[in-house]
Amino acid sequence: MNAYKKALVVIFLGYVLLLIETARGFPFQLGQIRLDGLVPLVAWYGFQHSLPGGILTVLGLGILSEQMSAMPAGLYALAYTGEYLMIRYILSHIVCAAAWQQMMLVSFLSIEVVAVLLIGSGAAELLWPWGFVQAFLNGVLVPFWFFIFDKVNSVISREDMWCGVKEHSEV
Amino acid sequence: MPFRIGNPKKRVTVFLVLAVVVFLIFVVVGLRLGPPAAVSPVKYFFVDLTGYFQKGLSGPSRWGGKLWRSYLALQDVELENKVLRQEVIQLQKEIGRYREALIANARFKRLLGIKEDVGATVITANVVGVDLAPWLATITVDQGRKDGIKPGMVVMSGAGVVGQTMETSLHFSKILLLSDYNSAVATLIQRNRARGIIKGAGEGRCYLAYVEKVVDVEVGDRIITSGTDQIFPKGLLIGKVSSVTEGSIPDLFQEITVTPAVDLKRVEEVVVLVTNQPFVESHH
Repeated sequence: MNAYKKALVVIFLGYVLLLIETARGFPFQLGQIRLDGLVPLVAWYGFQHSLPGGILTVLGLGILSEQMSAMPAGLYALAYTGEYLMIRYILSHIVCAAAWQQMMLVSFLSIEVVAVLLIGSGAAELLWPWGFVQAFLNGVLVPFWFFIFDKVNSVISREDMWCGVKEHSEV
Repeated sequence: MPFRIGNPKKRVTVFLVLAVVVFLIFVVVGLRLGPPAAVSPVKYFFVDLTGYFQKGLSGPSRWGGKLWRSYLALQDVELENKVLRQEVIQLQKEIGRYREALIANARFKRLLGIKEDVGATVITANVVGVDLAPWLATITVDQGRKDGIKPGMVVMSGAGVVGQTMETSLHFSKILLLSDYNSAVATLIQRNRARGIIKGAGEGRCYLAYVEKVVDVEVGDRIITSGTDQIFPKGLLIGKVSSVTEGSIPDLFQEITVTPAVDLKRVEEVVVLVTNQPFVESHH
């Protein structure tokens, strides 16, 4: 799958997650925390896609998220871009192959995302303990989210899904 | 020595990172200035499009909830009927007294030359979405500009005030709930007419700020809007005082927790009061 398709898949997945997480009646919000698939989605994308093109997709995802919230403009873009850049930086120095390593990394980076969002929206007092609980939850759920993203990605990336448009074939 | 990067791929990366840094600087500046007007049509189109999806997704769970509540309600219906009959008798007595008061009030107003309040049209709306950030208390409802809703209009439910409209697209509106950290409403304690500001405390809760320690406040006191903020008309029920503490010695004001009359975390249908009052800037 080329970079453009991958970017579209991430934007599509992000939009579906945003719809589900904000639709009234879905049990995605539990008090001050929520079952957040967007931070793991940025991490999943960051694990697979390198810097030049990837950052634009993440910015797009951030701008998309802002439309679903009363958060000040630019905060989601700032938070997700920061997460993506940190993932790329960390992956250029260490290998994060095992599931527990990925869980820890997402937990750690979630703190950055939550801190930017909470401080930026004037609710810094919620960082402890709710911000850290949210970050921990994001980390714990990484295997579940990555499994979902992989499955959706494999279904969408099948060649017949794209109306007969084939990948660059080997001769 | 000039700044040079030989590898074309690296050059692209560096330029892109620089572009992102510049973008982020603009974002930070944008946080202070607010969103530009030019992006509004695009944003509102997106809000409309998303609203329809949210409405579709929230529909089945809403119907399921209603069905379940109907079933639960049936179980207590006999007992409830008995209580309600007693309540009806009480209320009829009260209505009689209020009618008398209303007639007297109209007579006094005529005598004093006070104008009647301008009546507001009401629009009912269903809640279709909640805010992405759990600590922000905003909801999306399925009525918008085409129905006459504008930012800064009062939103109520059966029991009392819910909040105010903050953004409207053609078919959907975003509402800032009383419990949001950014919400502030000018209020009165009904019993002693002491003034204060109801502020949001998150999680469906509110507190009454700026009430001096000398003011007598009791648990159960009703809090109503004072009408001085030019958004909420006077006399709408906000909630009841649930706890009062003196606070620490250097504090000038009491710490008063208020339980909103409406369960803000579970509100499903709201009423928007459409008035022709002058446009009032929302908190943005």
